[in-house]
Amino acid sequence: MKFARGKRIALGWLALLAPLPLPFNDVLEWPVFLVYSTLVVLFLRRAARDPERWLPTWAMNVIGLAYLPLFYVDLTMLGGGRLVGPVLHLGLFALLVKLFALRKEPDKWQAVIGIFFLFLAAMGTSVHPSIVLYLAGFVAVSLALLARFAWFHVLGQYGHDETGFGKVPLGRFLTLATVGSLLLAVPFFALLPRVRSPYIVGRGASMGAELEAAGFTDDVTLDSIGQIRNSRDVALRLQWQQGSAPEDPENMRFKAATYDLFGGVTWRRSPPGGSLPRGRGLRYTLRADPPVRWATLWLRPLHSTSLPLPVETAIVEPGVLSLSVDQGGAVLLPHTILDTLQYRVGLARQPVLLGEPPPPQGGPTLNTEGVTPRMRKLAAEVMGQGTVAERVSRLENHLVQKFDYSTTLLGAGPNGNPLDTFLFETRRGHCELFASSMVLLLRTQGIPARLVTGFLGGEYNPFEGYVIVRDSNAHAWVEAYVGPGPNEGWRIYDPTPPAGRPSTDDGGVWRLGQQAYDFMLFRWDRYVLTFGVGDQAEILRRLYSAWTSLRNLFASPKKGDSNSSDEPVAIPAPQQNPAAPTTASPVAIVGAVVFLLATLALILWLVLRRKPLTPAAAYQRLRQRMARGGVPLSSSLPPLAVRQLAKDKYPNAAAPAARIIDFYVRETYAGEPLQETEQEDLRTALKEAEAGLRKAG
Amino acid sequence: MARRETPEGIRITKVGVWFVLFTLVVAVAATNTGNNALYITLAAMFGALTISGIASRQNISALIVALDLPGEVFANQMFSAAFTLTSRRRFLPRWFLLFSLDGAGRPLLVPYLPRGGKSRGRIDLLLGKRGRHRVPDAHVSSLFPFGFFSKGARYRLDAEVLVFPELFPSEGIHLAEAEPMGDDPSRRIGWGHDLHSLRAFRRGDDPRSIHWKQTARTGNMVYMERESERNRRLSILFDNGVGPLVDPLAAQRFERLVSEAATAAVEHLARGYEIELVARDGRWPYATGSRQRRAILEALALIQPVAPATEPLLASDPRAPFLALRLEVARAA
Repeated sequence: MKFARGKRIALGWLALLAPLPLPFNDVLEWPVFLVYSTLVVLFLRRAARDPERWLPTWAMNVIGLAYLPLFYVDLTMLGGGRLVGPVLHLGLFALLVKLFALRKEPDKWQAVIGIFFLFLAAMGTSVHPSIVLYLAGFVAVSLALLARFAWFHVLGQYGHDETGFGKVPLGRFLTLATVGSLLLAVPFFALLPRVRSPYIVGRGASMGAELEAAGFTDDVTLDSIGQIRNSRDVALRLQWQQGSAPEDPENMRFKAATYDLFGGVTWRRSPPGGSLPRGRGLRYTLRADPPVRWATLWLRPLHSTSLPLPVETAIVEPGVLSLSVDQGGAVLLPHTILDTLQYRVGLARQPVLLGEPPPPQGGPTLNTEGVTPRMRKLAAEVMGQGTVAERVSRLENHLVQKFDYSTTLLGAGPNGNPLDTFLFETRRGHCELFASSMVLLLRTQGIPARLVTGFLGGEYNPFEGYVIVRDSNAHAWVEAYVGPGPNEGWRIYDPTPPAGRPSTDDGGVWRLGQQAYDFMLFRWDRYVLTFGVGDQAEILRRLYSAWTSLRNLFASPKKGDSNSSDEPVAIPAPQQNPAAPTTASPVAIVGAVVFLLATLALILWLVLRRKPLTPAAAYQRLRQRMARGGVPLSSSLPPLAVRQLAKDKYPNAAAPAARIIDFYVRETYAGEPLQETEQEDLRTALKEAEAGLRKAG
Repeated sequence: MARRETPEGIRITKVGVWFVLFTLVVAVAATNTGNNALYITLAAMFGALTISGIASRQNISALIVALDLPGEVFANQMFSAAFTLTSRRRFLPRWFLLFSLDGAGRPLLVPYLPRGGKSRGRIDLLLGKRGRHRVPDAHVSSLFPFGFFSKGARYRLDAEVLVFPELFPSEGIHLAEAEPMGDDPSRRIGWGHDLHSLRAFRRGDDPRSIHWKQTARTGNMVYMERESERNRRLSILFDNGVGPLVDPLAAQRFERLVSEAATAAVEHLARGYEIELVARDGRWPYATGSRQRRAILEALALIQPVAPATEPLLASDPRAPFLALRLEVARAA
């Protein structure tokens, strides 16, 4: 049988659709994809013309052999030792060749396998929510293709041509089927058993391509400026444990990295301070006090191993095997993350991440490299006399009030010192200039200080009740050591004027739209990409809770609870009304259990009930068994002739076969249905007949 | 007319096997990697499988099946039965329905049945045996929607048809002629137009046949006997007194004789003969026309061997030709 034109076209469309996300996911090169797509389009054009001649099998095999050296080159040289790329190239090549060699009916399954392989690769490497659109498209085309196959199959049995397909209105059903499949997929997705933590292949992660990371880096170079303040990309999201809105999201401060040594233009990170002790359940404790609230954070990949944490963080649960902390109190991951990292933090009332007290000589936090004489003079003039805290605050206020914020690139100036230029010539700059200046000015006065980078503030997203921290929230500030006293130690100062602090009041519909889009991304990250066993347990817990509430509805009121409306209702005193949990009455519990058991029993009965064996079914089975044994049984052979045949060919099975046929004749020809008492007899006869037939042949 | 259906089980197709295999592959990959994108794929595949199950069940249920069997059905002769499928669903149409009956050689395809609509068609049937034949069920099956499973349902019809004996080409049938005696056997009294004879009127005669002219001339009531219009006769003497037929070969030969009797009756009735059927357990007197044809065919459809008898069967008109059919059964001495 020749391969139908409609099947070729349907397979071609699927082949065109299947690898579509691969180049977007950076697992397939665009040129390769374009070449492949062009060839599939050529195939579709050829299939539409429906020519007689297609690639013969021998030619397909020769082409396959010819590709082997190319595959070797791809694997060893072009692929750089990675397997994914060459295997995908091979898959695309094999599918193309197979498409051009589709000649017979079974060939289509090889093409379908190839398409399915590409579809799986596309799905498995995707992290963006738009993959749902791709999935919907693929499901729609696949279901249309399967319906078409079914129709061809039916028509093939009747020797019709395929032109009748268009006359059968299936469009509405296929739309409904696609929507229905996707809707049903939601509960399936939520309840399918998970045995491993969610594994996400990030964009480009499998091909070694450049990671798409947030703009935050460890580099602080004062004579350059990045575009990070203009970036609306999300760096991290935070959600409080109970889903409540934070009190002041715009002043939340996430500490990521600290810097001690200034090299004139560039800051160097604080030296490592050692590993954090790991507790049970991969919990790292920064302060022994119990936290007052908990939050969950989702961090996008950074160009850094820094783990941004709210400065109040006392406990962190990042799900990694080790964490280290630098001498400035910033926490570091063992490696850069490839995709969203979810972690939970317990927060104290006051800032915690402030590092250890400086050594007696101040150490690197008193390093004055890059300080000019007029900077010393300025610091002394501005800070004046008083306690350390007062003097530091005076300097902070001076910078906030007397200097302007600007993101214009001003450079290091003619003297090559960007801080000197900032303080005495331009008097305007970005947050790193403000913070760096303050650090060095404090050090000239013998006050240990360091530069801190991280994120300041975030916008509250009302759609899901979480805080969005964007790249533009990246910020730099100062930590100064104001003394060893009980209420002193390291304190946070922010000398950047309010105009320079990350603002969230872009306002209007645009912001709302951005929040809605981020809500979608967050939902996707939170409830799809990172959905795991814990979430399933939460779903089950909620279902149980709903069941408990429902059960309580059936709980009968306690004796004496009802009062006449005429009687005054006594309101119990608070001490007489302890907040004891509501308990259902025993009758309600028993009723609910009985109801549950009855429902289960009904379901079991419906599933497991033994279907009555009809004489017609037994007769058909007998005929099938005999036919399988090599006895030619035409469809018009009457039952008595079958009985005779059974007698002649299978003496062992003759008696039970005769009983079955008697039952059948009685039911079918005399219209006497089988009695319940005869059911077992019929079953036994069938069993014996089958045993006899097996023995014979 | 059948409204209640009984599910007839599910048969997985090759497409279904492949789909299940693909689903297993994705399930293993998803479980092994924990990749939620693969879990989404798996969930969508389960969703499609569920939709397929629901849609296929809906597709073959809630139909009304009506069957109209023809009046004359002969064994081993293909005939067409008219059927009507009516959808009771108000919201969903049906697709790719395959309709069949027990004994039907090939199911009939109903490509599309609109919601609440009707589809009429004819299905070819072949019944191999004479006698009463019940068509207990109609079978509706479908590969819809995606061809994963072939699902069927049985609709109780309880239709019955009397299958007449198989008809053969009649070249081999030889009539035995009776000895001619007396008058020309072809001239018989009947209800035709030509005059056969005149006689005195007797009580009970039809007054319309009084020959008024002769009555007036003779003064006595004269009755006019007319010639029969169909004046050729055949008596089929079918001796079914052969006892129970245990030997299948004998039963087969018996059936062959029944078919020969039916063939002879049908052919001669078509040529205008009056036919009489004489059997051990009944006699169907001479008559002609479609009623007689039906009566004889019905009799032969139901005729069964009875207790053996030795006395010969006799035609009621000894002058008429006859066809004597008797199964020679070898009996033990």
